[in-house]
Parts: sequence; structure tokens; C-alpha cells
Amino acid sequence: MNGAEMTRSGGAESGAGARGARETANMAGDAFWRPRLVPAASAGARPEPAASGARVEFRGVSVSYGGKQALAEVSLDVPPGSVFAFIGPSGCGKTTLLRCVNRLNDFVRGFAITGGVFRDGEDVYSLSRSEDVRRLRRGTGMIFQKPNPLPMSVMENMTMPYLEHVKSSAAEARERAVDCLRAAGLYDEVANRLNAPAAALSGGQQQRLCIARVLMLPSRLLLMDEPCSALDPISTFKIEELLSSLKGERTVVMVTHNMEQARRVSDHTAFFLNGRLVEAGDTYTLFSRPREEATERYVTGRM
Amino acid sequence: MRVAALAGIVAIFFIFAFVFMKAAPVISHSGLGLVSKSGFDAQVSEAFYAPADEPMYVFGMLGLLLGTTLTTLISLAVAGFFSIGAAISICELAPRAVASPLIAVVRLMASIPSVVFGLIGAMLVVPFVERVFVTVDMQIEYLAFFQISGRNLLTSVIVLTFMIAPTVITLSTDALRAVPDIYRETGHAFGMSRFRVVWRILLPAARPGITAGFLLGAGRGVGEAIAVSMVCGGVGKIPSLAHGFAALLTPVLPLSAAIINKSEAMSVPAVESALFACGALLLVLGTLFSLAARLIVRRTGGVGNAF
Repeated sequence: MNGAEMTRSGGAESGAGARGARETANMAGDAFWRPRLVPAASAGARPEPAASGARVEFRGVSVSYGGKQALAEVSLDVPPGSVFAFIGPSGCGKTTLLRCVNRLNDFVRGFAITGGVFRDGEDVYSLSRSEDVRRLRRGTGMIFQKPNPLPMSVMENMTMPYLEHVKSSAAEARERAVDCLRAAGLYDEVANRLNAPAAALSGGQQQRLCIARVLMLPSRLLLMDEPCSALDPISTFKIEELLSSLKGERTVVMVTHNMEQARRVSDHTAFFLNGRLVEAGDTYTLFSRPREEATERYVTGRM
Repeated sequence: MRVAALAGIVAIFFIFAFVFMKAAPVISHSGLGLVSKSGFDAQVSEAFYAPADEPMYVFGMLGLLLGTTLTTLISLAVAGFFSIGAAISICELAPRAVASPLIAVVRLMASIPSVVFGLIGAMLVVPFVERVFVTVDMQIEYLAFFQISGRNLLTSVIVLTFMIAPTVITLSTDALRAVPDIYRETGHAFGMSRFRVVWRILLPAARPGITAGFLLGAGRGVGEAIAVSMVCGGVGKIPSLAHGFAALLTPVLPLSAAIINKSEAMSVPAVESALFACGALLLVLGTLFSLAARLIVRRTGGVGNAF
């Protein structure tokens, strides 16, 4: 390993570096403080995103879990405002890379990373105070593979994370929630079920609820981990439509197994294989004139 | 399977029927006074020495009822508070190397026979309470109401708290462990702190399991006889708020402890019937507790209301 590189560790691995230990200590230490409040977006406003999407850069990122290598030397630029798709077979490390951007891997035992993940030029793994990590996560919307509504009502799902961070009245939060549900094209379907448990919605509605929930907080970056893999074609179509309406104001990084989906919605695509980045480029070129043979085999369904 | 269930129901029915039949003379003679009047201790000795041809069937068990309710509710509140904290520490904060021995100790505590808790209570907690809280001046001041010693409401609550806590901790830990990891990740992905994730997401999600722990704890508190009878003071006084702190030092006699304490006098049919009346009250109280808990769960457990 290059001497200049620093090994960074998160999680509870016993041999983890001081950083991992410090992170844990911080989280326990300020446990009783409320997170710092972000200034409320102009009251009663539509769910307005920040001016433009965030820039994400990966520089020589290598990740291992308990010594087992998951990603090797990945360097990649995600231009602001674009939709960037990560494709590749299962276990190729694309989800791992995605979860580095908001440091959600920190909770995984034995997780260690070298190299740099930059968000708008800021090295996210150089953040040492848990407060800063929380700010990073707050400004990054995350959509998981399985719809993850919390065990509460539709409305509570929308307002709870918002009220955690923004000093605002419950009424204002509810208003904003309605706007976000509209933006996600879900409002008409759930208008009379706002106080029903979110778990009672269909899978597609739950996933759109999760997207609407992410819109509650002003974020310039959306991470999506196979957002449609558990959904039927119509729900998938609705989410893809929603995605293209979000584009530009937000950068979207998305992991997908669905090649058609990558082709339909993304501007750029990166192909991963066995923890390595094989090829990245604009989606049209990558699908029509791949440079690498492995890419060609994968995108034509022969792998 | 169905036969066993049916047998269980029939058995429970017969238990209720038998207890109430045995208690019938006292219940019918005392009427509502059974739960609205006090003076059980004096009545027991009165009944014991009453001539056989004119037995004494009138008892008042308000003191015992309050003894049971107070010891159970206070110790449940204290144990509940610390148990939820302990469960959070074990599940969410402690590293695995610390958490597993801790949970093993808790489970071990849950399996200690109650008479051992009583023995430790009588040998350690009673002298401790006496030394720390009881002064001679205080004893003189309250002599007109009751005799203050180390055996009182406070001591019973301390001992009961240690007996209830393992149950509540165990069930709360199980409930927290059963909360899917995706909920934790969801909270963290929104930039919530560890404490806020526990407070806003995990505890609400684990509420049914935690409530079950409280229910079992309440059951143990209501039904606990031996340990409490060793430290409660054995006199069914009613703690009065007018006494301020000394109210906590009132000697009490919960229903289940009363059955043990007065069982020596059971050769007299009237006393026997009175003790079965205690048992009947316990059954009723237990049923009320579980109905109330179910009502609370139904009111707050659902996700009906957004705010």
C-alpha cells in the first residue's frame, strides 16, 4: 500500500484505527444533543431543491470488509446534475461504493476504506465529528432497495425526519409534506389515507413515499440503491418518470440491475465487475460502443 | 392441541370458581366494605379469637389493596425507567463484548428464586433503609400512626424493583433486537443522531414488546408474596401523602404477602375465607391490570394519529 495513503476504518472492528473509535465515542458523547438545525426553507414553500446538483468524485477508492476486498482503486467523476447509473453483476461492489457517499458503511463491522470520496470537493471520510457526518447524510437523500417506510403513519413518515432537522411547526411540516407528496405523484392516491400506517400502501406507493420523504429535506444529491428492483413495471415507470423530473436540480447516483432502466434514465453509466470499475462513460456510448469486451458481454446479456 | 387449550380454560374457570366460593362468606358479609374499609390486622386477630358459634366475617382490605397497587406501580415505574435504559445500552450502545455478558447476567437475575431476593432484602436492604432514612425523632413523631422500622413500603419497592427489572430488561432487549436494521439505517441516512434514532424510531417500533415486558413485570409485582412479605412490615397501613416522605416509610401489607403472613391463623374458617378473599381480589386486580394494559396498547400502539 502506498505510504501516503491513510487507512480509514469505521464500525466496531477491534483493530480499527483511532478514527473508528473516535467516531463511536462522538456518537455516544453527544447522544443527548439534538442535531443542529438547518435553516428552514422559506416557509410554506414548495419542495424547492438547492440550485444545482452536487458533484461527487471518487479517487482511488478501495474498500474491504474485515480484510476481504470489496472494491479496488475506483476513480470516477459524477458531474453535477446528472443521473449516473452503476451497473454490474451482484457482488461487484456498486452498492458498497454508493454507500460510501453518505458514509452509511460506517456501521458495518470491519469496514475499511482507502482513497478519497469527495462531495463538492470535500473529502467525506475526513469528517471526524459525528455532527459533520450527520450534516453530510442530511444533505443526501437515500432510497433503499426495499421500500423502507418507518412503522408509523404516512404523514408521520413525511414529517418526522423533517421536524428532526428543521425548526418548524407541525402545520408547516404537513403543508410541505403535501407538496412533496404531490411532487412524487403520490398525493392523489394517499390523500384520504394520510393517517393510515405506511405499511398498508402497496410496494410501489411505499417506494414513492420514500422518495417524497427524501424531498422533504433540501438535498442536492440522491443515492438510489436499486430503487425499482422490488416493484412492478407500472410502479417502475412512475418512479422513472419522477426521476427525470428531479434531474438537474439534484445529482442522482443509482445502482441498478435493470439495463433498460440505466439506458432509459441515466446520462452516464459505470460498469463494475469483481470490485473493479471496468468502464465508465456516457450511457449511449457505453451501451452502443463499449470499449471493453466484458462490458459488451454484460450489456448484451451474455454474462 | 385444542383439547389442551380447552382443558386450560376449564382449569382457569375452576380456579376462579373455587377461590370465589371459598371467599363467599367474607365477601357477602363485608360487601363493599371489603375494598373500602381498612383494619385487616385487627380483624384477623378478632376473627381468630371469636367464639366458634358467632364467627366474625367482616373484613376491610383497602390497606392490602393499596399496598399491592402502590408497591407494584412504584417499582414498575422505577424498574421500567432503568430497564429501558439498560435495554438501550445493551442493544444499541454497548460493544458486543460487553453486551453479551450483560444480557447473561440479566437472564441469570431473572432466574433467582424470589425467596433469595427476600433474604437479601431482609439482611441487606432492611438495615440499609433503617440506617439511611429512619431516625429516632421520626419514629417518635409518627408513633401515633405507625411504627417506623426498616420494613416498609420503600424497602418493598426496592426489593420488587430488582425482581421486576430483569423481566422488563429481557423483553425490552428482545423487542429492540427484533427491530429490523433497515429502520436504524433509515434514521441514520436522514442524519439523525444515535440517540434520536433510538428515541424516535426504535423505541416506538419496539413498543409492543416493551409493553409485554411491563405486563409481565406488573404480574410479578402483584403476585410476589414471599420476598415482599419478608420486608414489607406486615401491617396493612395506608400510606398518607400528608406524612410527606414518611409516607414511603409506612409499613404495608400487600394482598399476596397478607396470605403468607396470616396463614398461621387459617385453621379458623373465617380467616381462611378472608385469605381466599385476598386471593379473589388478586385475581380481579390481575385481570384489571392486563385489561388496562391492553387498552393502553390499543390506544397508543396503533399508528392512527399523525400528531
